[in-house]
Amino acid sequence: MKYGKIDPALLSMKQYDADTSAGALILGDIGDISYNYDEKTGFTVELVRHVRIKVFNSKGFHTANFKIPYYTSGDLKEKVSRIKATAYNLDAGNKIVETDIDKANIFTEEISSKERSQNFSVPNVKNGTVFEVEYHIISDIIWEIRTWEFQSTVPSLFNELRVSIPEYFIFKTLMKGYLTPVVSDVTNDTQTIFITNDDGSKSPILCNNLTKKLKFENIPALKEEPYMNAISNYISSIEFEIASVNLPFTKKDYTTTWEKISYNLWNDEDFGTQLKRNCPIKEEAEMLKTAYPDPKERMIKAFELIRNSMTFNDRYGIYITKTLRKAWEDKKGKASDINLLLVSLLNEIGIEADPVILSTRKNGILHPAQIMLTKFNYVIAEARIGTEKFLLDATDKKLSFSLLPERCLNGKGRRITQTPDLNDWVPLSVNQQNERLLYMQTTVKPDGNISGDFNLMETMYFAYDRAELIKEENSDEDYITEFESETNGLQINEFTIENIDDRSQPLVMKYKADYLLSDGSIKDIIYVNPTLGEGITSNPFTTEIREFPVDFILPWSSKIINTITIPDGYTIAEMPKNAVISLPDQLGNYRYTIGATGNQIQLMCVVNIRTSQIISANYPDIREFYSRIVAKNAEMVVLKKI
Amino acid sequence: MRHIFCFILNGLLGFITITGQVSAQELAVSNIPETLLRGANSVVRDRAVTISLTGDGQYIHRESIKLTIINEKALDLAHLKIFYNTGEKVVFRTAAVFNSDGVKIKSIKQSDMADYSAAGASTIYSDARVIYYQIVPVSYPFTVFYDYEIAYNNLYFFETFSSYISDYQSVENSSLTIINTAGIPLSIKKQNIPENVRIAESEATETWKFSNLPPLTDEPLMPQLVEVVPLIRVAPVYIKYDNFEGRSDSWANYGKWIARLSTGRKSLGVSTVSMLNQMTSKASSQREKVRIIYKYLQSKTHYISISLGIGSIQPHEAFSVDELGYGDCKDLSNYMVSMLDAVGIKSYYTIVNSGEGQYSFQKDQPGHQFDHAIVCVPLGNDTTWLECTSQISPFGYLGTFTDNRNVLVIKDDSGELVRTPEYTINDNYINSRIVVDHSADGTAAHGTISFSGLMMDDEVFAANKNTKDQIAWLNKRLDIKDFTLINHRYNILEDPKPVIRLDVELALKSFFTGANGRLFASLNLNNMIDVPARVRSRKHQLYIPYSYQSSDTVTVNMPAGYKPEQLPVSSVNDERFGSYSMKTVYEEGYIICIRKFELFKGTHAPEEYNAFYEFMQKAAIADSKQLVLIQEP
Repeated sequence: MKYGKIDPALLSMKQYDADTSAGALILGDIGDISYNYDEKTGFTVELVRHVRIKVFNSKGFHTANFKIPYYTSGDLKEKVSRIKATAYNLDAGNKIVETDIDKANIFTEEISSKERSQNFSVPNVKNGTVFEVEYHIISDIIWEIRTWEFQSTVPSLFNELRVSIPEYFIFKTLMKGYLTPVVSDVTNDTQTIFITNDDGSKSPILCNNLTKKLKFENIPALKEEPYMNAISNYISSIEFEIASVNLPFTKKDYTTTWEKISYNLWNDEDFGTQLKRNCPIKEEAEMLKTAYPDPKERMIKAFELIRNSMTFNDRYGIYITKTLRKAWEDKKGKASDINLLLVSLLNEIGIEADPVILSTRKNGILHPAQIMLTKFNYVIAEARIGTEKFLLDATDKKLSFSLLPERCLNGKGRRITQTPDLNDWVPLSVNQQNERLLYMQTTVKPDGNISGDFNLMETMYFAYDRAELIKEENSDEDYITEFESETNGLQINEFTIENIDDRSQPLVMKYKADYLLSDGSIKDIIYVNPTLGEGITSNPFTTEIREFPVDFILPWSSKIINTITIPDGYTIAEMPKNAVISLPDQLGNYRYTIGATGNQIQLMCVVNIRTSQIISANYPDIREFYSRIVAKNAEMVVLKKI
Repeated sequence: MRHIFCFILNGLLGFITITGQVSAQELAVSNIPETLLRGANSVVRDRAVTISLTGDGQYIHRESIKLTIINEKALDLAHLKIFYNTGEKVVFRTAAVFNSDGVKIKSIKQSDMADYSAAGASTIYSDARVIYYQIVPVSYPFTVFYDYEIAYNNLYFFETFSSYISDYQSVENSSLTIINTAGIPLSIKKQNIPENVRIAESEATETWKFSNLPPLTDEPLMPQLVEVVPLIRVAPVYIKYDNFEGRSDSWANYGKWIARLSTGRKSLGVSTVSMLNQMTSKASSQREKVRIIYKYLQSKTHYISISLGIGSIQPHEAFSVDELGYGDCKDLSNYMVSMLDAVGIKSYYTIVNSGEGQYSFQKDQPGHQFDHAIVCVPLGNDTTWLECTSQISPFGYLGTFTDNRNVLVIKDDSGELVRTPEYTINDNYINSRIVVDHSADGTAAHGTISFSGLMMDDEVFAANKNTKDQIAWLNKRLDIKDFTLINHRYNILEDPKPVIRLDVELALKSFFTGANGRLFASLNLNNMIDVPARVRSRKHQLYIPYSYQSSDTVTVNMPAGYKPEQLPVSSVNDERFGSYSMKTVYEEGYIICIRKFELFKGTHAPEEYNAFYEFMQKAAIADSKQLVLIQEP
């Protein structure tokens, strides 16, 4: 792909056959990353990007807008230079007309004191245009290489990255996504660099470069689906993390083994060193020690002390802000400040504890084979009492000690410890499931309306999520109003909500309500849905094929029990039959059990999902499972006037 | 640039108060009267906004605010957020946090504040910036105290002063002072001013003071908050922006000033002019010419904002927009006017207060009240309005963004206030005709759904998305419990009025449910009635912004061996709010169900909300009635 050489056929291209609805098509996107050596300034790393795009219609116009952010703080800077942008269009006589960007139309935005951005839109982009853009980013930050994405929200014909790295820099790489490259090879070449000796003279050194080339072809556009983890987990990309720098003149080792990472972190001023110092929470620690001889109780009280005292500033990262003492004085900080403070307090009161570092759900799934510290963005605490282990995160006042925030439930975390035997992965969710139980005692009236007593109990994140919704409203009454409007005909007359703030207990909502289902006239035949339309009533999995796993985050169960009293003078003419629907491999099941005694009908309807994730291969099964549940849950009891 | 009631602590609000010490007692939460505390998430303890006119076409806006945050729902209001533009100077006097006893716990230094670009995603460059400091509260309640001023270089509008700055807020004291020693003529408008406002006037200083305003509640389907809260709007009568001076004592004069901003910015290259003429040479009517050029605009431009200095109110030259193929609403509208000019059609650059901004528009206070530009094309008795920033908007379609409001049409040397068309009940409709069939393979449905008027707003976007996104949208949009979309097609029809027609083909699972020889089916496939929230004690008026109607016909071919047991029939009427009816008839072999629903626009007393809720509830019950079929013996 040579800048300025455009095949005229591209300009008359009307659509992309593999995805006719695409508004634009990336004809090619090439990245070239290399290290340059200058005798005076040493190494810099340079990225050259050249991208060419075909625009079919206005849906693709946005691809012509570019914002290239770069870092500008301190001595180490990035520089964006040699921006070229050209649009190619056909004129009335079918001749190619080129429009180059004018420098005056490239703007520098000062995003913040540390970051700027070069912004421009390629001129003269309209239906049918082909345009191309090329730019260079030269960086002094030689231990960082930008993540390169092979996939975009529009489809691409090809995407290629060439990375050439001198032998002195050892990077780990992480490939993400579901796509397979058509080219993936590694070659070697050499370049000569000069180093300055102590006497000022220069010596040439022959430096080996390792060049890696990756190429993808016919890349589909990325799209989101329901029940999907963060899209960044699936976009095809390559990330780089420095492992070591081994220049002929200096030597610095970054990361290699877990033992080394653990050792380094323990000796890092912003991490382990803090834990080796005296715990800043002295008085309270003494009090906890005397007041709670039982270690588990002591641990819970210590956890609650930190959780209740400290305010989380919504910032992540594994390193602390300043010192633990400062965090405790300010009573606020990052997750790392709060949870390292907890580790420190636990150790102080005689409970064995270590930090566990992890990657939050949005930050992406960790690949255990990749030893890359930059993949981690969060710290929690692990406490150990005898053989029992507890994972603790004191950042959220609405969560009890037994529950981590949902953002943490992302596979495994890594324990950072000075005890070699414990230097290992820690599963972040074990033996946990979300539960919902709706217990109803209802009476059918001769007009078909229903009234009754309801008792909704939820545990874990089901309870947490509802508590969040309740707290978003201005009063519990406002929440009940919201809750009512989710169900057709539901009118709540009296209610109580228990344990909104205590996640060690289930959240309980008790209410007396009417289901207004009829116009009020007395009926000869009454049709009653014994589930009252609670439970699964529609299928969220509407598409036939799915690329990404269905992510429920945790296994879950939902149970509906309804005891229905039928009106006097009516008899049960018909009832649904019992049913069991199962997912393969014990992934889950559904049970519908119904029976009648006298004027009462008893229904029990249970869904059990025993896995947190359903892989794409099982997608047709979960879709069919929901389909059959929807049909079964819609079945009616028929009552007839005697 | 926007001149609307802003529900964030806005940097363009400013005051003079006693600098120096705040006594601990003064800010203690215990001093807040119980009537102001109950139901409030925040309390304005003392706020003073001062506008000081310096007489040289500049002014200083000072904001001093002591705001108590009662709980985390109001935390967003606590953060310091000062919006300003490059070139305007911000000076700090105080930024501090106090605990619930009124004791100062933190002073915020200017070096702790961040200064960010406030440009949005489709802005390539803007002067807009924000000074920001995030508050992380250790406990609630707490109080923030900010006192700062911004010096403005141009005198062409002042931010509206609102007694409240958020909902669920009460106000102990809040005031606006205007210091105008130079005697610059101002237009001052007051709205919803309660009786306890004291007005202290001297020759050069005027103060309006609001005290003890109760918590402001927010309810569904109510008038805009901007219409119900006490406001004071101040506008200069003489305006100046850079070297552009003018008067805004009438819409004509204000229009004249705006017209001058685009003087000499409408020329196009010779080749463009001849190309446009050639393009429209075969058009059968003037309207057809306008359509051709509008389509051309949509195919070759897109929205991008680049605003430096006066660029926030002045359009770029038409020839440069022609070359670049992008611009903002002003640039693209001015370009459209220029192109129509080139083919001999007179049209007008028109400025408008978009979206909900219409509710704060003051017809009798000429001046800067606009945030958007469109084009007005008078064609005989029929005026066509063009939204020039959208590549997908049907020709002549305005939608809820710019419909039914006062806009200023900029004539060559004047301005004229005109109303954009209203979409009535005859325009706003969703009509559907769907046929349901069964075979051994299952149940299938096919048919069309038509959207018109304001009902098109969402569908215009959907119609222009790619197939995958359309499928995702329809999967959410259709009220069917379990289905697979087999085929669909959006058709955008433009004559005589824009309509979007959607053709669909679906495979239905569990259309019929039931066992033991009895089948149940819901006959509503695309248009369930949403019951509004049951508000227990309504405080505000009920406001329904526009009328609309829907009409749906579903034909169900009878499965063999069944006959109807229940045919849903019902009707609900309330002349204040609308009507609902469902009629189902059984004919040999099939069932036809016709549903109609009408909702009327209007403003009603708070007491009528319950009746409205009941009307909607009854309509929804009627709408959920099922068809029941029974196996013939």
